[in-house]
Amino acid sequence: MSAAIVLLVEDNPNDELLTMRALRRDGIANEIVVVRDGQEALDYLFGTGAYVGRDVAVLPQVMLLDLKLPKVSGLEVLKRLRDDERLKSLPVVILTSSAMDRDIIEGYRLGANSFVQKPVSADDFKEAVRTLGLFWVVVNKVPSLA
Amino acid sequence: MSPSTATSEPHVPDSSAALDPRLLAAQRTQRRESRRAVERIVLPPFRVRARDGFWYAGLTLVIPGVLLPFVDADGSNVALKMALYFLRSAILFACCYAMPARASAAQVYALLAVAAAGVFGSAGLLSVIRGDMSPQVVFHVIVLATTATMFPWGVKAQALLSATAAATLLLTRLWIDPTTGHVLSLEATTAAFVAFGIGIGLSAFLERSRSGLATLIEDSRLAEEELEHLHATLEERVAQRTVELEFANLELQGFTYAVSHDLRGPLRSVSGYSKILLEERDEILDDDARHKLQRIRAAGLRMDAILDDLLLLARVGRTALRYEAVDLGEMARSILHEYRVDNRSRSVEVSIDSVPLVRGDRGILLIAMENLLENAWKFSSGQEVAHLSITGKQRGDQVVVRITDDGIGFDMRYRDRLFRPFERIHDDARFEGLGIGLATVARVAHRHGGEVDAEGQLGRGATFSMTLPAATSHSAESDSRPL
Repeated sequence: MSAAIVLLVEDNPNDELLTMRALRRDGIANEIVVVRDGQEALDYLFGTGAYVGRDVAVLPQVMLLDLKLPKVSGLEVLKRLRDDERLKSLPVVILTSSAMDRDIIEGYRLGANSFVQKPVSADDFKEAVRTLGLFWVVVNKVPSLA
Repeated sequence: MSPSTATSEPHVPDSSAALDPRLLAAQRTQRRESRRAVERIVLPPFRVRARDGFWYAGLTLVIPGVLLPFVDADGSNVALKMALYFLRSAILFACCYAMPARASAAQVYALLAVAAAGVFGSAGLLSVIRGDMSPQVVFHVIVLATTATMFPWGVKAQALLSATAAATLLLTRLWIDPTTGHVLSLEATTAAFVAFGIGIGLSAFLERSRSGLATLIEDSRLAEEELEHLHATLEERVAQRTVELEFANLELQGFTYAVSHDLRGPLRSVSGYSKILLEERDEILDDDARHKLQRIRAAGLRMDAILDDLLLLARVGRTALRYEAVDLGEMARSILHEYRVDNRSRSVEVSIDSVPLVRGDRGILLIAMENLLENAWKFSSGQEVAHLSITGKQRGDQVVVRITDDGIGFDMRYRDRLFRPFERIHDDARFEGLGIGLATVARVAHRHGGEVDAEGQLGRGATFSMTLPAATSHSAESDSRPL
């Protein structure tokens, strides 16, 4: 089995650190790739921009996607993935501060696999990230890359 | 058992794009204003100045075979009209009109039409006087196709009214310009038939002269222009106001979004880093530092809760209502069941009446009920055995739901402050509310066109009530309103 990569799309360094801590604690992910805006996320997945030459056949096990991002918004990133034959089935977990009905509805409509609101409490936050990491990286199965 | 007749509120398409109620109210006000403006301009009181026309009032004598009243004018330009009313043995009613010296074909035709109408009027009069149709109104309308040089297009109406057979007669002629609604000519005659077909009565006649008509037409043209101008600027004003309100609404939504997103981020850092310090730097912290870090974390969590409540309050005010029949008694039962499961140590006796179904939005009614029950639950926590009761009564087409607890109560002097956001009336830290819950309850009730109220006594419990529209309007359970 290939290395379990978690792609974290997060522009807030504080949230990034808290998420990384929670994911690393139980050794859930072998590799956590952090990108800091929507465009960088697309570059990583499509092998463009700063990621030219990256082996795009290697896909993350799950993408943790913030919604409010610089340059390209999270929902726009999601839309472009779902329009792409290769990335259509990439598991995407929206992990965001906002839990407005509008965002939740739109997120699922665009094909998000899960929607998680970042809890404010440190304990709850850690538990939420750990749980979804365990599920999406360890429990969940994705098509093997060929 | 609840008939699920969920229907969307007609004015508000969906929650995200929902029109702000203030916007709708503003549009309604504008429409009302424009309607008033129209009323002011289109329907001026009928008034005749000396130079506008002429009038006469006089005694009318109705004698079989003899002529009747005569009309004079200012002589200059109108009133080449003579009216002769003949009453023959079998009652014949006719009109004669003198024509202008150089009458056009249209004018001749028009005058013939008037004369013909007079005959029709006579037929009505005949039947009235014979008693066939008494009491009766005979009404006929003729359209006069006169040339514009003489009169504008007009509608002339004649009405014959008899209160009792052959006793009192009222003959009214009304000439109205249909485009403006102005009264051009008005004539009224009453006569009492005394005996042998002889009647005595009074006549009054008002007519605008041509110069008067010209003024009138000019007036109406100006009024029309003014109206058009008003309409044009009104549209503009409405459009501008709409843009402003939409902008404000968007800003408000943006603000809500910012509150939920941007403020949460820093809070998460406050909580997260405090926690990291506590976990990873325990060796350099003394008890005092640890305690202070805990307080920082607690404050962060509390602020998070305030944000939640703020967002809820905003949502309750904005969301489009979906009406259905809701059983608040059942709702209370399931909410309290959860509280019991979560607080097994508490001893609370609950009594829930059957509450008549209300018509409302289940989602936001749940928010209100949760707030009220949570308060009742929380503020009665000092009791060894707390008592909660939920009752409902239908009064006409409304249902009053009451939630009573025997907790710490409140001072009635502060009752008005209860339902205002960010007001707290308990200093006790144990009962630290966020000051938003009851404001949210009030907003839920108001959205349904209902009311909230509270009664209480310090240390003796409190009763909170919501008045909401009933799902059924039968008043079988009514206890205060007689049918």
